[in-house]
Amino acid sequence: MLGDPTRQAILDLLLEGPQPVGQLAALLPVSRPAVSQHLKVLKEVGLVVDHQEGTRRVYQVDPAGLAPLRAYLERFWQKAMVAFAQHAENHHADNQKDKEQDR
Amino acid sequence: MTQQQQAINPVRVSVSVGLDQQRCFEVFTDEMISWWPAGHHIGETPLKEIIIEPFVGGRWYARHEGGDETDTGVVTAWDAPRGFTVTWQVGADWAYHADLVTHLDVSFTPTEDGRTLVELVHRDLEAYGADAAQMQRTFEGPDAWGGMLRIYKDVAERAHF
Repeated sequence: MLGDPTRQAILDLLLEGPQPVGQLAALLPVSRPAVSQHLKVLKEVGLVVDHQEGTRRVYQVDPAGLAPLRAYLERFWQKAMVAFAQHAENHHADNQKDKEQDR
Repeated sequence: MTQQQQAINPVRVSVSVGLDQQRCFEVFTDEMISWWPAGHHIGETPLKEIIIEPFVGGRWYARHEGGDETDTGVVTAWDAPRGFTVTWQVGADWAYHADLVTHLDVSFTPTEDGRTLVELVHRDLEAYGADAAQMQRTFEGPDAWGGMLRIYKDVAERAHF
């Protein structure tokens, strides 16, 4: 997926705000059907959502697409940092002594 | 990949540690195996060592009890004991991806009370968006990392956005 620069470019544009297909095609060096095809793939994996506005179909990034992963990483790093602080403080005295002897 | 996009906020966590800056840096980097959550690895066998080679371009990787090695990323900045930056190239499928590049910035700042503020920023998470199709295929595949998928789903179901 990352290997496809057009898909990345579409995602980049949509991260700046909702866009209709025609506007995305105008901004990219590919045809409108090609843009539609990429959008279909992005929609299938839950990264973008679309809705009709009059005669236009507008696409936007689905915030829920990445939010779960971000939430997971946040929880992981928080847990890791607390474990780090506890370990560091618990072993401080011993390690500090060793270090001083080394020097 | 573009750098200007801001739509996906970096993950930021910090902790105050009752040690000096130098010691904090050493424990965080040299002694990572001693505090890293033990179940959190991508190898076939349990973690034995975690190594961050202390220079720009150095590898960040793990050695496992079965002798296998797994990569996490590479060092892109090294300024001991003030901080360092490494890439984190592990997908939500718990596999290393050469083309999935996110960054971790870790800084160590002395505070007036003699403690050290350790701040971690995990940024460029947009890369996961572009890798999502691959992640999804892995999730759905026969070799899916069941535990990871359960965690992912658990988080997904609890997330309110």
